[in-house]
Amino acid sequence: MKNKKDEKWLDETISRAVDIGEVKFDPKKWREKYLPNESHYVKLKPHYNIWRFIMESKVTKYSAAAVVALAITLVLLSPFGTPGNGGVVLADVQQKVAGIETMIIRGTKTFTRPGEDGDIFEFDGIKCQFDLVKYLSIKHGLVEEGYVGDKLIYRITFNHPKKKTLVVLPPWKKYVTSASTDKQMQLLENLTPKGIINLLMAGDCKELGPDSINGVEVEVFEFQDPVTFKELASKVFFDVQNIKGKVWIGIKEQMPVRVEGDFVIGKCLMSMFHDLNLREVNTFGEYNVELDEEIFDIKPPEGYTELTLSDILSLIPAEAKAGLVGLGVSSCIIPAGFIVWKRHRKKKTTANRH
Amino acid sequence: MRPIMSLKTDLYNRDVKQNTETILLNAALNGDADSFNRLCERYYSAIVAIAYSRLSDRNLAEDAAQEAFYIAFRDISKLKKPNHFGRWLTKICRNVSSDMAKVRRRDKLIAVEDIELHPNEKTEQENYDEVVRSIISKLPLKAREVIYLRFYNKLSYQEISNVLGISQEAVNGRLRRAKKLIIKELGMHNSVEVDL
Repeated sequence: MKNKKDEKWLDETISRAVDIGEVKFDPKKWREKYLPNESHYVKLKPHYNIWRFIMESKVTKYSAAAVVALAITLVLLSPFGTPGNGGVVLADVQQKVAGIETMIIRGTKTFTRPGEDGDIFEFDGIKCQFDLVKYLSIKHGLVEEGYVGDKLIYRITFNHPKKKTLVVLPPWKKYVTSASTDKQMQLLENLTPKGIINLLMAGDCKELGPDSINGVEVEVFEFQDPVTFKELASKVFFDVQNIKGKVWIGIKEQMPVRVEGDFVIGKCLMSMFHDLNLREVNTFGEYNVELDEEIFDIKPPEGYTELTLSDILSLIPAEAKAGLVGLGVSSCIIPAGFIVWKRHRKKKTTANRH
Repeated sequence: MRPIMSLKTDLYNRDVKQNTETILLNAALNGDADSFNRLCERYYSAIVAIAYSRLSDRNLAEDAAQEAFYIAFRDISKLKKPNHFGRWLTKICRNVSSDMAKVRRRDKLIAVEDIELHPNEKTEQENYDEVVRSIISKLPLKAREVIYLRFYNKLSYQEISNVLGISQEAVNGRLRRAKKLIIKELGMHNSVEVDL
């Protein structure tokens, strides 16, 4: 080839010649054709010991606030309710997981809209079906990263020693910081395997009997208890109406293998006044891995600005704002924001006068 | 405590693609249907391209890709190196496509005749593309694969390297050789046209 022009011409020629049109994978058709019986899926052999969360929820399409707030809440609210003492393995499991200090969780989290179709909720052109990486450390705290495709959409850091929370939203170059409440910190501690098993031991649950998942012999427990979550926030803010869940505990491993939970959430600020459902699935994870303190740093990244109430309000439609008033949220949340905003404006005005 | 990954890198600029693929693969290995489907979605067009390079028929290529996914799903527990998922899938697809090509040859289902049915109705450009396509179809198999992955899927050298399980240098070499052959054949074709 003589020059770049020739090379470009050749590349274009080849591109045209090999263009067979767009092809798209249709998972539904594929499953119908090759896997008419979906139970095949649970026969896969586990390769890694990795906890993973798959959360599917049905949420409002209205506000970034809802996405952020839900993301925060879902980090804190795992479906480890308060079932208890159903099987012979639990006591051993409790002992076995007691020494676990760190854990890396991988998985996916999907927000879907209510209805049988369960459409994936979209916000600002982003389909809220997240691939997750979570870093858990008893000493340092918890980080959750949510990706859509290859793009980091959010990163939530709960710094345990500092009792502070940082939410970073890279697509919008925004961040939010706040102090973590004692309740949140307590729930954070319960997200460790030890905490999970403690919760299991604390209450009642129904033993569903032995099962096999991914070739691992397990004992399955079912639980249903929204009380723990109701305590986290007021009903106006986050209205968890019902939680059902299952826990699979490996008999041989004496470790939790998988956790699934289904939430029913009523109209509240968190759902921007929509009924929603939420589903979460956890499977085995890697324990006692080395996690740098740096991961749990709560310093906002360079070039990011703080997400303000006005950012959020501009995204909430009138209908939802009316809902805020109707539910009495205005008396506790909106004025607080506006007061700050008005004070800020007043100061500016005063400054201008001088 | 054992180190699992370098976490001192910039948390906002890491190789998230590999990260998410690992996530999906681990989830699939743990029996999650949706994650397996999402992996299929990611690899579908590349796997179709691999199949097409052997079958030269889009419908058959899609069938081969889907069959390959089924085999991958069935045998996923045999996958020893999760970061080799792409190349493993490619190998499966090659086998499936080769089997289909054999069957097609046996049944004499060579679907090339359609191309020549209405030659006069095609534009000059279309006819030229047809010639190039015909040249590509006669290239060695390895060259065809790399051509389709590069020019149909628009994959980078790195991505092709991951899918085929060869180095980027090898990808570059195969592409260069393939292009040389195409130019050579095009030259010959043009000279024949001139002679005529």
